[in-house]
Amino acid sequence: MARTRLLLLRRISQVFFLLLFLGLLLFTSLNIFPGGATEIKLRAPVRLFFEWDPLVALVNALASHALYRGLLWSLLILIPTLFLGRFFCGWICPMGTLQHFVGNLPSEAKRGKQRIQANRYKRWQTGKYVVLIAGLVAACFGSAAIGLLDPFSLLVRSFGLSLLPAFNAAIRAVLEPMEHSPIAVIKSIGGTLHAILQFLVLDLRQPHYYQGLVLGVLFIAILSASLRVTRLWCRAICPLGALLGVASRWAILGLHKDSESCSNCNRCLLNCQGGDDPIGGVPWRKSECLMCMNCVASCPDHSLVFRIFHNETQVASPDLGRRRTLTGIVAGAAVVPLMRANTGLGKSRHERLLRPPGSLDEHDFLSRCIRCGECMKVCPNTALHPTFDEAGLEGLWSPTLVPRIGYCEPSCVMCSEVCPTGAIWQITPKEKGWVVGSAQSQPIRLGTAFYDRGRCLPWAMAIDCIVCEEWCPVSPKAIYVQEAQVIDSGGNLKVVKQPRIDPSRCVGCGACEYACPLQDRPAVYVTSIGESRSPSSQILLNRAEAAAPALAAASQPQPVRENAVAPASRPEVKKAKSDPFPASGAVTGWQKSGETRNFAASNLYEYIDGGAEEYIAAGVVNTSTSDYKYQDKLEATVDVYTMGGAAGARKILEKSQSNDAKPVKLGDAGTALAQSVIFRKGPYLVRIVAYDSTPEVPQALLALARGVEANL
Amino acid sequence: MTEETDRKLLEVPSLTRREAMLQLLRVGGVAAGATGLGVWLSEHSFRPIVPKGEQAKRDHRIAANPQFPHLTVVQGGEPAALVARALFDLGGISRFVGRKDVVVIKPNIAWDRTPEQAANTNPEAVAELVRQCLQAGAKRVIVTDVSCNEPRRCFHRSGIQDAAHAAGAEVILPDPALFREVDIGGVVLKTWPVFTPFLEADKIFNMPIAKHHVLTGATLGMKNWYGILGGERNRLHQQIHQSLVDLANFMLPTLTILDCYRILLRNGPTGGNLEDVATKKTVVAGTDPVAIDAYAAKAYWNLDPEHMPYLQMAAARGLGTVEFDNLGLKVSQLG
Repeated sequence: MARTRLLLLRRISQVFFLLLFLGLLLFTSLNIFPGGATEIKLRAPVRLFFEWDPLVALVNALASHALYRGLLWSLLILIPTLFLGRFFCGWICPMGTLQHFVGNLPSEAKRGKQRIQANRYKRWQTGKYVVLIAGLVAACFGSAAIGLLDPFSLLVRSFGLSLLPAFNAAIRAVLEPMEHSPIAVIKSIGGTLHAILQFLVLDLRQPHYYQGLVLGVLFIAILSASLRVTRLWCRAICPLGALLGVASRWAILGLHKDSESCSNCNRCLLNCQGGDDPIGGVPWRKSECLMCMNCVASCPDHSLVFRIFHNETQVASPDLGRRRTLTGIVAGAAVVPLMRANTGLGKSRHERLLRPPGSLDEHDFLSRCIRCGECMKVCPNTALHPTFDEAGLEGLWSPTLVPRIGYCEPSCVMCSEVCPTGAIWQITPKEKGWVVGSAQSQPIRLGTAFYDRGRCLPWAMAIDCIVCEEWCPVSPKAIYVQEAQVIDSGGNLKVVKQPRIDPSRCVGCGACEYACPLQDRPAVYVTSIGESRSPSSQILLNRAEAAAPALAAASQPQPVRENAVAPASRPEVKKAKSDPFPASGAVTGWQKSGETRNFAASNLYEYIDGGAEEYIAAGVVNTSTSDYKYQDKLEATVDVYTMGGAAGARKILEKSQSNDAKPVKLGDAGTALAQSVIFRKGPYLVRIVAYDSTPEVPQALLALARGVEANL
Repeated sequence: MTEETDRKLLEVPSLTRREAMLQLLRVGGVAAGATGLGVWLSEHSFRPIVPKGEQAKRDHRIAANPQFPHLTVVQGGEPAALVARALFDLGGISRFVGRKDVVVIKPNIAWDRTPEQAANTNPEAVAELVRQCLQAGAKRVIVTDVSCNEPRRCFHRSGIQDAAHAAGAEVILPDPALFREVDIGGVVLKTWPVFTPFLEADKIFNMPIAKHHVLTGATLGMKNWYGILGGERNRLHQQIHQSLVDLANFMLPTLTILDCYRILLRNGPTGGNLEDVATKKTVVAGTDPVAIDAYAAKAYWNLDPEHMPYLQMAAARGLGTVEFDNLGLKVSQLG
């Protein structure tokens, strides 16, 4: 009686954890939101199973010499295993449960004697230990590729990237004719089903993944193998099972065989999951047993029972032998250096390998990424896909952004939230820095966009377009346009807006490539150069300098940006785009009342005759100035000096100190006087002087100064 | 041995005549059926043609009433109050919404942005219009849009999903199954997939937000109709002015309420940076979609109709007038 209750308990546990796993997987989609907050966060610990996974933890520890967020929870599985054996495989693991289920299906290959024979211990079951050893040694060499074979990796990848999208397509294929049916009953059933399924699983855009078919077929093949040999994957390949098998070496719980009462009926072998020889006459193999309790329940003589601290002959350790151990070690040691001898890392890196935001530099990334595909599943735009050869063989099935299919959503950091190993380090939307407009820090960049002028409509075909500019999510936009006179095929003169990229602003999100109307081969595309995770893969000598307003450029004879914009249609944009001077109305009450004038060091005396020496000595590069009016009565002038560096700005600011000056919080440092404000920020020194003195002047000047500061 | 087998073979009983007939009938029936079906199918083989979209210009306009202005500008209040006052100035919601009407409200919910970033219509303004429509006795009030970014993120982060729900509206996400091929009947726009709720409404309220746009100078009321289309909208920009007029001629709204509570001065239509946003605390509403766009373009971007070809084309098509001054523009100040 107690024996069958144990089986029931095990089945409940298996079903529960399988449902938990699938439930968490569904929570990665955006269907289930709480109301209220405008910030979108995952509401369930979708990476839970990976945090429980001792294999992931061990690989992470070996490769990074640390344990990433949450991986300490793996002790919850590891420590009980030390005492109880591989209960995890038989009671919890959803991959095991699925195989258990498939293995129980009636099958030609599993009848009578064959079935009993198949469940005897086999030498090839040691294969998983070789895999484990090779994987751990490879981890020491800096590759987490063993994650490819981790059971949860396998599950998330197969379900998330193949089976669920296929399910989505199938459901849609059934729902659509139902909803368009002329019969009212069928139509309403279709509508109701649609509403329910949309809440649970249906995606608004059918997800497609690279290699989805391969992943799905592989998974089905693995499951089908269980039809011939029960739990072939668990017995022969699973490195997590191997690790737990090793860990159960000193487990105190063991199978007690009462050889007196055993009638050698072999029934215990009929449903044995692990292939651990529970029959009489041979020793029990502890490291193979999954604690499924089937043998105990099926023994008609009651001669099998699990006991603690039992003392009898058993094979406690994996039956590996020196030769196989050595094979594992050598394989692991050889495989990473061999793959590094191939292309894929270093200069030969694939131009289209765009890692998700927050990803570590490629070496660190590969030493952590277990290819679980959780990032690809969670991405709201299905923008992340498993690589094939883009990251080299070593990086097979690691994530890459495919902008043609989906771009990286500016406010979203969900891939970094779910990554269990820190390959994509957890970041906040603020750290990502794409929408907050954080002036203090550089945004995370995935790459840089480039135009294919041979295909871009305004460049190649004299046709208006500019959808890329419309979609560009950063502000100021990284795509700027230049009006150009072109001749169309009829010989008519035509003005089109031709787009260009500012590499200092482009974050490589891929929205332009996604939105480009040239679907098959977009005229704008993102490559990985400029990705912030890599110190070497950069275009610009200094991003920060290039990102600063084009003051230096303004002193050159014909700065490109000044022409860049349509003259008549949008005067405000022209100024806001490239200079620090707030447009009229941008700061409440202030109107820009004059043109911006620029002076280089060589002609600065034209502007401040007599005072120029001091600035030139401090290393001024460029000076720009503009007049302002406050509520049509107060007049003021804003001077922006761009110095060679912060030291020059500090020098000037220190000279301007006097007794009645009050320090104010502006830029790096600033002071206010009755009629003027002066502050510095990086290489910039800003001086605002009013030509009148009324009680409201200091406040108004400060407001204007803040406006200028924000534009620097 | 062989003799025995032969004998046995000969002894196998043959079918009775009746059984033989039945068997022949069965085989013959299947053969005849297969032939018939084959001939029938072969006669129905046509080269697939794209079905022509339904002809359906949507005119939801109401009769003009000399008592009330065509255009009203309300300034200096919170979004809900602005909308309420604008509706009041134009003659009250009951002038536009009848009992048992199915009302569709089309805000701009295109981008994954928060209300403060002013890339989507103000949620409180939408909620107020929902409440008013329900008070006027509308059977259903639907709030929907075909987003550019991932729709669930857009509907959620714009705040419109929650606000409209709370006010009692149905919020419909742009599900791919809910598009119908429709003949727009335009000069450049022919057959396009249109989101079904927009085709099945009794009354349609256009509720855009005023934003900067690099091609047209500003994206105002008429550009909001891009959001009723599915398909590859990114081709429309090649002839943006003609597309805008084609759409405006296809979808004639009951009322246009242009949200200028916050406007996006630069880097539109996506924005993102709060420095691009100006708080104007204004709503421009009216029954003349051309005049509304002309007014807002002039008021916030200082753009004249000659810099906005689509407005002149729309006026020439008889969709409204660019001379909003002559319309009896009513300006109200709140607070």
